[in-house]
Amino acid sequence: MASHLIPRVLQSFAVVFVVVSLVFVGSRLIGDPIEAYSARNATPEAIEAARDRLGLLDPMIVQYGNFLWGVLRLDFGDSIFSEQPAWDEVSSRLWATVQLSLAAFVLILAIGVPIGVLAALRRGSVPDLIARLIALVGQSMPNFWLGLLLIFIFAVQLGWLPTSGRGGFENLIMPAITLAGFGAAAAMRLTRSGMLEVLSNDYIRTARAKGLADRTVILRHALRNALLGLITVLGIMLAQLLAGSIIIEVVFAWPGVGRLIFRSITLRDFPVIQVGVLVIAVWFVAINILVDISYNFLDPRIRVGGAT
Amino acid sequence: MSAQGASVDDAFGGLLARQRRWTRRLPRGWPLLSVYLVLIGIFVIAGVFADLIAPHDPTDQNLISRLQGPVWQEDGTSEHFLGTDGLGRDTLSRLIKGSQTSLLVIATVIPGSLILGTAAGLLAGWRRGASDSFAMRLVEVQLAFPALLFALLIAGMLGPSLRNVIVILIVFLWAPYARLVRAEVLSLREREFVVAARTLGASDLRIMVQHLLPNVVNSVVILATLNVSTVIIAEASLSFLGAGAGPETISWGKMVAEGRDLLKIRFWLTGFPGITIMIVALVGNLLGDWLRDYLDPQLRNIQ
Repeated sequence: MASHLIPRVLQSFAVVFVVVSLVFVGSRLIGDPIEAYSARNATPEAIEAARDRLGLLDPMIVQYGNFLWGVLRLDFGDSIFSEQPAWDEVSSRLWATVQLSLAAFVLILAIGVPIGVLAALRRGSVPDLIARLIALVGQSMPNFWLGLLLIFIFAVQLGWLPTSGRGGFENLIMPAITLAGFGAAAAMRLTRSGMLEVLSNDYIRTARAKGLADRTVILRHALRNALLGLITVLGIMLAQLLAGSIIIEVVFAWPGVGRLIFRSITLRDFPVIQVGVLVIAVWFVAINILVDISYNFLDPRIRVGGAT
Repeated sequence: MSAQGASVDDAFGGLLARQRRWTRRLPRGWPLLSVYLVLIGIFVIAGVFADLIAPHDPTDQNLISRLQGPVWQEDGTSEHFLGTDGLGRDTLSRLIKGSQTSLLVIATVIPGSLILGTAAGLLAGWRRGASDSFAMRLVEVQLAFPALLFALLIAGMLGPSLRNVIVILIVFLWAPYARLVRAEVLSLREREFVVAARTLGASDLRIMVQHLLPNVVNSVVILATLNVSTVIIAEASLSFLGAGAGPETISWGKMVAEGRDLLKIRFWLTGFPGITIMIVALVGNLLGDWLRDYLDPQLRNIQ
């Protein structure tokens, strides 16, 4: 199995390298940060000195080399805006974003999957129809608008929850629900269709025919196989949540990486953009590898195939 | 569009006159279908004829009549049916003008990504080999990379503009078509009619266009319909973040962002554009679901 994974890991490093290089090129194209920051009465000499200090006068290839060397040492230079090390700026906010993403992921698993299973088992019933309709509405709702709607109802009108910011548990509720909304709807629909597909198999009929309890058939035979098909999708979902949190963090003023990247793009603070995008790219790649590994463990057919 | 409009007329004509004879010819679920088609008709007409329909100039500012409520609230007037924003601009007119933006994005992104993805999928599935593995690696990378982040970067580099949004969405949305078409072509290529065409000496292009393409059209159309909500929400999200429509363009996503600061006192400024986005996306999803059941009940895994 290890021999199967090594090329996969190498390939992932290549993906991260390409993303990092693209971000380097991209962030240099955003525009001159010095122009955005220098005071209106700054002398040309002072501006030139600032460019020199940031290494912006070096040839592009030297800047790129310095940048890659910095990546290896986790040294990305200082934020142009806050003058703190860019890595510290991002890493100090990383936990807030991971916390939000994981909370949303737990919600997706806890709401989307069970409701999908129940809807499949009671196919065509009124609860099934209602669940499908809610899922469809959930998939059609822009998440920033869902967030504003929740703020209006639960913070402005009812005053139950704080409108924004990060603090106690009550601050996490609305952003997590908003971030989970689309994923939970998608997970419900996918679980439902996956279950229906599995339930139509012959081995389910066999299991029923030999007199197994309904519970055993559903949990041991049907759900396990349905979940197998879901792992890839759920993995991609978990990876997307971190990037998807950008818009949620902006709506709820959640002090995470997403909001930092958003702010840094408007401020042309490219060291911070680079670190932020790098972190998200690494997260993506790591999740993808984890999904592959878990797939290997859970599905014996692939384990055999992977050895060849 | 006229064809769809006609089928709605048929539906109502049949309802009034000889209900039995007509309804038997209509597809299953036609009453709901006609509702979807009417809503789509309203959206398209509002988008195409926005300048004729809008009761006011959507950019006209009037500070005397600013922040009016919709007509059913006490401070509302029938002059501004859905109220006015912080600059006194008419909300209904802005919604109508905004549908033009959404329609433009849908009408360019969906055909663009569909054609690109279908062509790539046909080639990859039929030719196999290097072009196949290259296309599929590209698809994998694209599906794994967060599109929103990429779009934000581009907008940061080049400034917000609708043209950039359209290009970015096409670049990101061709991948699902390519994957879907390739998968179908892989199973079609072994079928007798394809083998027969090949034996008779048909060229690659002829096989792809004449024999394979007609067999994948159904699933492609279903995916395209379901993509309407993806496209409309993506454009709205980018515009909400200030990375979508440029400053001179009216967009529903931007209207939500503008109303956000006034959320506490004027919910409807975010409410109306938000609900509008949701309805259009929902109709797209419902129509896609209906099409899937109608065209191919076995296609459940299309997403």
